[in-house]
Amino acid sequence: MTSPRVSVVIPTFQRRESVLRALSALMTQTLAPQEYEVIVVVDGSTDGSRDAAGALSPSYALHVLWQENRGRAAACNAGVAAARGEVVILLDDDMQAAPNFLAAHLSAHAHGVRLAVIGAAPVLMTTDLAPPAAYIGRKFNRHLERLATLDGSLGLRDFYSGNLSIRRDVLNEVGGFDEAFTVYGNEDLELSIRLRGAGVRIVYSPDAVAFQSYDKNFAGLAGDNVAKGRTAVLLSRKHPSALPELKIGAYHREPLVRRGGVALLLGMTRILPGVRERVTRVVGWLGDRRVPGVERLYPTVLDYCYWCGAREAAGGR
Amino acid sequence: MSATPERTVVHFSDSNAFGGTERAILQLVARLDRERWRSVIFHTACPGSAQLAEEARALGVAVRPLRPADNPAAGVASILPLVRAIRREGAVVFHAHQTWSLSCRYGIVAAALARVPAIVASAQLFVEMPNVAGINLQHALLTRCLDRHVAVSWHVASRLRERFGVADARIVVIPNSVAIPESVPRSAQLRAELAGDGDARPMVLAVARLDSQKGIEYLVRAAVEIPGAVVVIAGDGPDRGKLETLARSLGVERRVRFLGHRRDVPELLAACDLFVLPSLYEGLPLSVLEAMAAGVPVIATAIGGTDEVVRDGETGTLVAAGDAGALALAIRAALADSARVHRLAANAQEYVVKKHSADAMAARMSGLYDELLSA
Repeated sequence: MTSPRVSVVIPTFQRRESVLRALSALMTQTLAPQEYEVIVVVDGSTDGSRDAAGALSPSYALHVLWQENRGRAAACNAGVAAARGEVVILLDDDMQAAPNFLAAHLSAHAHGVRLAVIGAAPVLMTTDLAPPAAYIGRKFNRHLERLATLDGSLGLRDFYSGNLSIRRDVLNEVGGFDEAFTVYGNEDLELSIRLRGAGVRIVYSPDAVAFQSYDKNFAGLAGDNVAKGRTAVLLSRKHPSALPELKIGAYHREPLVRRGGVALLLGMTRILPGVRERVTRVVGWLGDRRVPGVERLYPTVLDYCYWCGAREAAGGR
Repeated sequence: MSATPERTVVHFSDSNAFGGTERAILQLVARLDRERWRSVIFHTACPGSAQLAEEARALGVAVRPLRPADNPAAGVASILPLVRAIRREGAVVFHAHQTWSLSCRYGIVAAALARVPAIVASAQLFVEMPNVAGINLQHALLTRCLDRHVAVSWHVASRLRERFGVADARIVVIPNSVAIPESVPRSAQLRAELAGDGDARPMVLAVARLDSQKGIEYLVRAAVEIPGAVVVIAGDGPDRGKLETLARSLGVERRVRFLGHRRDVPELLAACDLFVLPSLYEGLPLSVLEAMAAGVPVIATAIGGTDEVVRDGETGTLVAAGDAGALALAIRAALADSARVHRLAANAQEYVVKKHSADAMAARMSGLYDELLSA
């Protein structure tokens, strides 16, 4: 049997319906089924994802791998290790590929060997989206706008790996993901620092479209930001030279009002226990009731969560 | 025929915006034989009709602004002055240009009272509505005042017949048409202005009044799903603020551009890669005919009227109305296979030039006037 041209690696954790949708979207590709394979890495999900994915019989070659819960970085590495395609595409489990998704990624690699191609991942925004999801969707879609107008010079923080393709040998050469990142966030930025160091050019392809559904509530979003703060400390310790380009090193560039709000909340957290939980719960509750203007609180509160995480990871500093 | 003295046609419009209906009036008056017909346009005096008046005057056509009759009392009160005005013009033909089934009703009644020999109404649009406030009865009375309903598409004709029971003999179909444009060169400068300097992304254009009929909301939503393209929307209307807010709330405001009302539509067409009209209902949209005449690939909605000119897979692409996902899919497919859509666009251009030329439309209209006057 000949090797496929491209391997799609989907790490997944506790999102059975979502990963099944992602797999079904890959069934209707303009690329012929024998030209690609899909590797799902179930990262210790207990919701039956493994059996449900294993029960599918898609037109393409599907491999379902299982591991104890070790985080997204380890899951991606396991998937890449099993991949046989010349190009690997890392795809999150909440993404649904457009029909020419695989063809567009492949054609982007025709322009060079040492390329990391970030595909577009617009957040589908239905009319009844809850405020946290609408906030993230808007922010992310705006981010895509910016990427589309940049001329090949993507910054570190522009990088995401939920829809990323790279030649397998190049990814292996830089050593894949750092498995020390066991919680959410920054494992992709860490990779992008090493990619850049290895002379890999990071480009954006608006044609390699995978639609992202975002369904986290505010508590989930706040939790992600705490985790991101924690891993940001890990990241900045590993790559101190990248600090000025990271959010954790750019506090002084945030708007003054937001900095004030964040400082106030952080100060209160130091004195009173449980402030973070309460603030998160209240803002989440306001969002659930669709209180107008609640989204204006999100940047400050989410930043605050981020700095809480960073402070915890830095040892209460 | 030069021995025949010129006779007066009063064109009547009560709309308060400048759109396809108004441009259809201008197309007609520009092409009616001046030696035979003297055109006068009666229009509602309002900011929205300024462009109609201005362009008509530029064509050398007389315009008569009327006081807006925006409630039934004012409407009824306007009838007698209208009768006098129509008599003063010595009109032999009264031609109402309707944007919905009862539009121009006071004018039509006035024309009947003034005993104008030929009274016709062009139904530019068929707006579906329930039988409230005696609409059916009012329409039946209007039909009695009219010598002919002119339907701009077969769809409009069949709705007149089915919805209001208008007899076939009282309906004539004279499809909307376009002036075949001289080819306009693609302007790099205009493109840079619309899409941003050095922006090579494909450009999707819509030209429409911004109200709910045109379904622009679905195009804005579809824009989220086509991150590789810039969407340019020419036109203004009551929903503009709402649509701009929607674009911002979806995070696509930099890629979905609202240009406001534009007079350089041929240039916009030449600069774009794809024309989209996401309307929920139409008579026979001029904007689509113009895009087709300019050789621009068209994606439109599968609705009555539009589907008479845009045939899916032959002269363009049709998608279900009110479905942003389907629209996005069609736009992405079109941008991915430009050879195919340009082949359809070439078919479309040939079809429109052959079947929907404004000269032929004006000749048929003039023939209709003659027929009614000789009866």
